[in-house]
Amino acid sequence: MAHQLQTQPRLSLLTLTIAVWLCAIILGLGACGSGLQSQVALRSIADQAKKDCLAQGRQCADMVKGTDKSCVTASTTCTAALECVQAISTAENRIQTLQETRATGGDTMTKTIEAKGSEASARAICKSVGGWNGNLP
Amino acid sequence: MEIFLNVLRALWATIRASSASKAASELPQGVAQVKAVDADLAEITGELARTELTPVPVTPPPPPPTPPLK
Repeated sequence: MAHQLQTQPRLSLLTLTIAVWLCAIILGLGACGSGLQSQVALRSIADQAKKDCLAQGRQCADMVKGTDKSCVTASTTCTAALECVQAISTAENRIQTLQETRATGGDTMTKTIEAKGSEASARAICKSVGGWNGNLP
Repeated sequence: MEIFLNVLRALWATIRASSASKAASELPQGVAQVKAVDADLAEITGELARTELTPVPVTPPPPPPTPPLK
């Protein structure tokens, strides 16, 4: 009985250690999703935003001084596209920094959070300001 | 149990190594994506700043040189 009481905490500690390792591996696998895939998806959104801006811009002769409806629409679309692509540019750079850190085997915890956060932010901005989702996941 | 932990450590090390190798191989393509997005940004900025081209004033042709008086 006494022996059982002594071994019980030891087993629990080992079980806990194994559980922590398993969690680390599972989280590691989850966080190691391809950064390039995210970069390509974000670029697709940026291309979509630029395309819409240029298409609207063709309807307006002067984007700076034009005050007619087509110019206002074009200016609004391009301003939204600018917001979207600026956010995407930030996300792309953060993902690239994360990839560089991964490649050198450095600590990726903070950079993963930054990259994932900025990617989510960019996607949300693009969707809300212009409905740009991109064609890739 | 120690063996099991060693297996987990080895598995973790393998995952890290594989991730590092994959990230290293993707770096150049990532740079291309960053550049493409920067180009998009420049194009949109340019579009927003685009003004109507002011027509180039037509200058009258210079008068023919007057022949020297004899």
